[in-house]
Amino acid sequence: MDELDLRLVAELQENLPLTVNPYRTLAERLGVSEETVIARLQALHASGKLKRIGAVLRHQNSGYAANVMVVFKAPPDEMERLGKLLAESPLVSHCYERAPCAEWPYTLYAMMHGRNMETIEEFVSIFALEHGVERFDILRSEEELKKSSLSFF
Amino acid sequence: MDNADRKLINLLQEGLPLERDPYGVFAAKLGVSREEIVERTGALMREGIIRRLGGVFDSGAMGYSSMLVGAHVPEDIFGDAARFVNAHPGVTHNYRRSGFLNMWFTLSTVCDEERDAFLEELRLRFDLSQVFPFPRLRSFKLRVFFDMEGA
Repeated sequence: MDELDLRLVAELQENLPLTVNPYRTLAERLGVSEETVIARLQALHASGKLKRIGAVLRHQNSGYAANVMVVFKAPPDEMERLGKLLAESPLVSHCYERAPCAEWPYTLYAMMHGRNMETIEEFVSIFALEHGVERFDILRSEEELKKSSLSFF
Repeated sequence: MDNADRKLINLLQEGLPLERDPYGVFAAKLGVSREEIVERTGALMREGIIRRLGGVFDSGAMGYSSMLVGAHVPEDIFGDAARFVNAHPGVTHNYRRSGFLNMWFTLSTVCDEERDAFLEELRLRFDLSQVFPFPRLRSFKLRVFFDMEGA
């Protein structure tokens, strides 16, 4: 990444200009052509650094009132199957296998979002029952202490 | 929020086309003008439904590694500990959660040493014995998309 890429990334970490042609506005700010900005964006995207230019929602204000982290103690030989099954649910946004520790036996994590808590609790208890997962916990988010985007450089 | 807003939010979440006239593409799909798209987007941001409209980066591809950390923090020092954690620029998310581990944050750093040093400082400064990093071993899903038109 060169100087122009760094400046472009810095701009993109802020809000996109609210103009009819946002890439043209960015180009004006950076003192380059719109074509250059678009070529740089496409290159950043192709290299995997830029996932997209898009909206991040405040999900609590979007009708998704229930936001939880659910943790399961999944048997190692069932991890793959259970992880893939969870990933299929539209209620699940992130799903990872994580290392446990002595004080915390859970290994399968899912971030879940729903319009109400009952929907999520029902899904989780049925999932656990159906697949014989005896230990799980639903960790409600009680307070958002920080939510920001990572600032690079 | 009307139907056009919901459709617009879904398009904005998928991402703007990385080509000339990105809102022209949306305008054609929604049957409204580019100007109206910009107006509606601005309103959704002011209403707090859209938190941010901008670049979404892959921190790994950008050279950072991120770690989920869960901690048990006693109530009387919770606020101070949260302020300390939040002050680290690599902490992007921090939530108070129900349960024994009541503080969960993600910490992105350029090297493991920086992360380990910060967690050690957190333990020492607030006398915390239960601060656990939970490294990711496998990803099954990473797709943050809130469908505005469904259900």
